Amino acid sequence: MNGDAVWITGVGAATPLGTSYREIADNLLAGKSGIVAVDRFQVKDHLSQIAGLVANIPDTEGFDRKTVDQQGSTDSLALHCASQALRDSGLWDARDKLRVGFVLGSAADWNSFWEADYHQGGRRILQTMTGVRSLVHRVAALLGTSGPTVSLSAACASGNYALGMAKRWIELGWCDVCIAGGCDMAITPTTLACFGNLRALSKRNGEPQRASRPFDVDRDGFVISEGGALFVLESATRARKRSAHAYAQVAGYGGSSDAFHMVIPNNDPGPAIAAVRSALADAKMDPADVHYVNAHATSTPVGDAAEAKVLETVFGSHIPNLPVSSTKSMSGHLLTAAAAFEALACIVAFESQAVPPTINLENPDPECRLCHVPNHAQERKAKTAISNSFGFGGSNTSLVLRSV
Amino acid sequence: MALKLHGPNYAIGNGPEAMGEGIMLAATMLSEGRLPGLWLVMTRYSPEYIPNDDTAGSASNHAMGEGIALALTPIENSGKGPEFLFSPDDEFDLALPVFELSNMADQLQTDNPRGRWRLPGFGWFGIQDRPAAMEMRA
Repeated sequence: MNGDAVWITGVGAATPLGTSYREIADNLLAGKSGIVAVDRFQVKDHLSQIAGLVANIPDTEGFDRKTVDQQGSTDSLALHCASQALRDSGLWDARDKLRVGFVLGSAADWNSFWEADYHQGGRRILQTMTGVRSLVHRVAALLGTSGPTVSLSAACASGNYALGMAKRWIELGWCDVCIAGGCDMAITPTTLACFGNLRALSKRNGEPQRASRPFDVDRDGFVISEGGALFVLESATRARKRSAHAYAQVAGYGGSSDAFHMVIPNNDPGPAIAAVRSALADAKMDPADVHYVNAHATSTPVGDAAEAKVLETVFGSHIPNLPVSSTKSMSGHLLTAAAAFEALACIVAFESQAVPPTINLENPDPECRLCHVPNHAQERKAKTAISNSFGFGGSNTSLVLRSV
Repeated sequence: MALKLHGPNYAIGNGPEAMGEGIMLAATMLSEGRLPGLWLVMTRYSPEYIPNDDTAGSASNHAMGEGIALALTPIENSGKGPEFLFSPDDEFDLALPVFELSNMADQLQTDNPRGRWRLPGFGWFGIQDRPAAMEMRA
């Protein structure tokens, strides 16, 4: 094991805000919403009828879509993100000569597969699937990577755990480079109905682009989205040696569990506070060292106010001057890919030295007394950032990134 | 949630490589030195549970549930129990048997548990008797 820093040297993504880093960055800084009315299936009986969709996953050069998508479109999504990240890092041609690890946060691929099959008249849910490899192994096989490969799921927090595990693998020398992040294509009739019936989703169906409004007094639930973001991680020494472009250092992460309720946020902010503090400690940073917070804030009445209390407690006297924004106002909530996408938003802040806004923030909730970035990006010193992701089931995570 | 545990937790894997993935991430988390210990819970159906085509969720076959929960602590902590070994290396004796949950469970019920298995996907995993501590060494 070495004490070397771990850097992000490649980015691949497909989200409601675009299918490349540059397109997504431009849209984040422009305060553009990616939320639309769902037209993929009939939604008239759904409480919530809006979402952030990835309408067209780009083809991945050298791969046939029909072959890739035998288990559903999440395969194409993950393959696109991983190959784009590897190409961006400059390691595409070297991937079969390196130990390339892969840690993928994902959850909905089997549900989406069985549901799509059922709607096409299939009954594969009633058939044995014992021999079918998981999404991450299928994609790793397509890529031809041979390092350690795992998938994990902690709902919305998955991407942060994936990046934390990948960082550790690099530190331990278990792989030369590691692909990590999250991917899910979860906008299906069942998923929309489930979250809708939980009364978790916004019903502002007539105004899709104004529906996701974290920290605003008129927020009425989150907007469900899909997509993916994957990163290539490697040691700083290795990256320097090959003169690779570095987007950021993965400085630390922290996690905790509420152990309270499957969907309701804990009244006690203690576990979430512990996750943020654990991340800062892992990164050897003090609260005063943080320049930007990408909040989990999903636009639910209870969750946003609870997170504001967490931030007030952790950052104390620094909170009036610490910019906090929720990019879910633009992207919606990418579920297991949310944390990875929001790490990408932090990288955008580093690159542009501007903080992406919380759009639709017209009347800030007095219960959320934070240094908001309403509606327009703000030029800000952004050398360090934390990104919170607090998942259903009470899984709290925080990721610390540092510009390089 | 039922155990009121407030540490980090997540679900790992699905498919044929899931057990190996769980062992690997448990080793990863313990290697960070931030946890006093962790629960590694591995479950499976053997054979796979196949539902009937009804709304009752009844099984069409005799699916048997298997599960094991391991309380793992870092090597520095004292305790009783066998030592668990994990390596992500690809270089191991190809004659090693493939890891099966039931095989490990059988070993853990013996006085001197020992064994070494190939993990589906990568690496190997082993148990060896060590009277002073129950460990997981990455």
